[in-house]
Amino acid sequence: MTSVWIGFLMLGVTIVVHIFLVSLVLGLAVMAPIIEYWAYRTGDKELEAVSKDTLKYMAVSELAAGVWATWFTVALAGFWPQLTFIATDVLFYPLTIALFGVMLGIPLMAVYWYTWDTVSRRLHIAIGGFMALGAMLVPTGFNMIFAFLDDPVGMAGALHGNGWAVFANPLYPDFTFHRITAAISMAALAISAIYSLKASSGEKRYLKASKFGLYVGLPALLLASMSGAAYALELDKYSPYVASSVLGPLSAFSLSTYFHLYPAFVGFMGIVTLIWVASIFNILHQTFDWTKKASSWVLLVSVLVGVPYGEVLNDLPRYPYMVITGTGGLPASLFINHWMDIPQVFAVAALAVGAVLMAVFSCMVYLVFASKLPGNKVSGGE
Amino acid sequence: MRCDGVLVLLSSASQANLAEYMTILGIYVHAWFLVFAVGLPYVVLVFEWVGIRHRDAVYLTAARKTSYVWGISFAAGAATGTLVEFGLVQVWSGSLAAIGTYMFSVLFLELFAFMTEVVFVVLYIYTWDRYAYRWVHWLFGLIVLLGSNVSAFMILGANSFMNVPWGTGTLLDSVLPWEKVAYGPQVSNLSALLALAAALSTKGSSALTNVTLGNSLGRILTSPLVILSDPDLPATFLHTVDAAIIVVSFEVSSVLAYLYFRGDPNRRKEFLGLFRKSFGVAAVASILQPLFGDMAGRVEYAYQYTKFLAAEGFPPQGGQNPVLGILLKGNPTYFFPGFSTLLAETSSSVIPSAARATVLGAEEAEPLIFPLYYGMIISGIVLFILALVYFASFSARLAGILEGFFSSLGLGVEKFLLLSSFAGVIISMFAGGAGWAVREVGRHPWTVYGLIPYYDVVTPAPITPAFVAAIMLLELLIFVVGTAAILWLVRSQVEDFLEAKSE
Repeated sequence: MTSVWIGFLMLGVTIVVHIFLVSLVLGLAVMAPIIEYWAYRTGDKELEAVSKDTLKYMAVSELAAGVWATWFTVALAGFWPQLTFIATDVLFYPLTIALFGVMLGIPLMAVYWYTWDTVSRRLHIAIGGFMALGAMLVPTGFNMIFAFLDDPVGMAGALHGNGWAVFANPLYPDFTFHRITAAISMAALAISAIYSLKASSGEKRYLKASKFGLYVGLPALLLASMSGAAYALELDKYSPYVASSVLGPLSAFSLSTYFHLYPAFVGFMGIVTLIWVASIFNILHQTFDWTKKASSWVLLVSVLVGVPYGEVLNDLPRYPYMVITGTGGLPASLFINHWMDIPQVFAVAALAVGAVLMAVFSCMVYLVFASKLPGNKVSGGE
Repeated sequence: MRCDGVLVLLSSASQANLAEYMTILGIYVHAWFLVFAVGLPYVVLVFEWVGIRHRDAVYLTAARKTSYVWGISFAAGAATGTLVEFGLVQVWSGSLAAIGTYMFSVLFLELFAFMTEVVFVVLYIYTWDRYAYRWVHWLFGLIVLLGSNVSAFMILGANSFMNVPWGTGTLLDSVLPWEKVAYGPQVSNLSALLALAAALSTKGSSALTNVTLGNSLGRILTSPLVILSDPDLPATFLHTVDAAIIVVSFEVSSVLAYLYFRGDPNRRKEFLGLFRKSFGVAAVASILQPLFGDMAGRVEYAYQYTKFLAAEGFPPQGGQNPVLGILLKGNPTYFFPGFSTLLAETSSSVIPSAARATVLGAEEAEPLIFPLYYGMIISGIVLFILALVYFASFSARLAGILEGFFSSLGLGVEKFLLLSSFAGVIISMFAGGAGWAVREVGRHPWTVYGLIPYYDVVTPAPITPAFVAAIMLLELLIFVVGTAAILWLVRSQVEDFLEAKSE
């Protein structure tokens, strides 16, 4: 393996895991206050408990996302120091927006948790709203990186003091909107599927939560699908190399690309179709029988796979370039760390240990929140 | 009006100074939470150890309640750590040259420790009473403790490199002529390193936008793991982690002392038992701290002479200090050359202006560093004495003497120790904060000592006073909210503890 490929792989794996986790955090951050608001409107205490559970999931996801954010930063800075520098310099304003979002979102998450039942319900929901806003600011800033890598608009302007020039990127608005709506639909539909599976035990609150997840998730899925289609069309226009690799015969260009990802794209469309079918089935089919259970499993797995799968399709087609400039790009080899040889064993160890620990962490989260452990009492706030 | 005043102050500062303000605050906010996360495992595991060993439900309950505080402080530490790291990369973007080379190994290895911590801290907190064999649970806690210590070791490794840039051989001798010592093996391409420093000096961090720079310089570092042999690292690690243990164990002790005085009088024996264990942790750490401080001081003398002069408060012409003379040279009359001697040497530097700035910077900072440094030393002595009183209280003979002494003050030994825990919190926190300030301010104006000054690595993107004010406000918000959450949790856990006598 070349150092460029190792660096690319390291960054890619980190991004995919990180994006998965932060999408979950974003979606849950939006869901929690929405559910609470609905519970408040209807005076439904059971739904309020679901809102609180949602926040617990969010807190644990946030912790894991934080670890991967650190991982992401180190991978970027270590393997791609100059690219990171250019990104932080050129994209200073978008990244600052993201940083504001993180700084706002984390304390508000704590405030939201610790003020439960201690302040008026309206104020509490407002705090939750601001928490969701903070969470949304994060992708609003960070997604500029991906838009920039596909179409480096505003670079010259930013290097000469006009940092806002990057916001003229035509890919940015659609991509960001797509990411946010996809994250909300992922979290909402995952919640719906989980509670649908739990509802087979006959508990009414799970049934309500499952329905509520669909009510939020389906409109978000519709928006994500529409913005995704629009984004694909824009990619074809502004980033032909990426579009050729992903869209294959559907692209207006037929460029020679390193990866031919059209079959993978078709697979992705299959996953999206599954999500649609399972969601609609679940909303129409209210009886809890084996078909509903199977459908809920399909929904859960497909929404959880959909986001990381989509992220692979978003990042892999750029190879061997790091920044796409139309039909070609700036090769990744230009940005790889030339100042030091990073031992291959570092990358291999990172990927292996990262995978093992993520697996352990996922099992643990499942065990903890599926109430398999008697120690399932969260300290504080209860 | 006050807000206007802050903005006026900020508007008069340079881009790099503005960035410094928010970085200083950010690091202290991070450290505030981190101290709990690093120090609490020691106290919790001691409580749990005693609880398991003696089948004592009171200790187990106390360990459990304290572990919840540990959990939330860990989360706050992790969150603020991510912000600090991201802030470092974004605001001090030129430091990516160091992160991509010398610091990479430690930052990379830290990820494994961090991940281990995350997994096992959650496992530890959620598996109380899960295992019939309680030692398994204790072992989880021990893994977290090891994880947090390895994590601290690695992160402090990056800071150690900034203070003692190991692996650069005799390069610094040419920049700072008074540092006549090798900074480790020469595993750096010196011409490439100097070319990078020159590029940063000429163009600031903007030099890194030139993508051909990476290729044209070639390999800067040939041994990625050299940073792990930095002599500053073990000294800094032991000194810093021990300080965290002292702060936290005094904090826990003070809560228990409060319960002793204000809680149920029938349970005083329980509180006292717990108190003696947590105070014991503080005492052991306080006894060890002079050793670690001495290690750190020797490294400072050997590799950062200007900081040493400023911290020890030597006059410009230098002078004698019998204690330091014996400790460092075995000669009480040894004459330590002062700033004026060093200034005379700056002309032989390859970058005389940088050498001069180093001397003048340290001399200018002396009025701040000297009192902070000696404040830290005096604090350490006070804590050392408290530790001696604690250990003496175990000896019947010494306890009798102490009892007589404290009785004359209207206190018993026990009461003195209980009351001293409150002072211990304040003193140890001051010592920790002051020590870190000396370490960082004393290096001014260098980000990496002798190689990269801070103003060469600040982002070229405009940092405005309003921006800095907003970031600092958010940092304060995180501090306030996080602290309130911890205090709230402490209160609720104490209430639970008081209600449930045993499990």
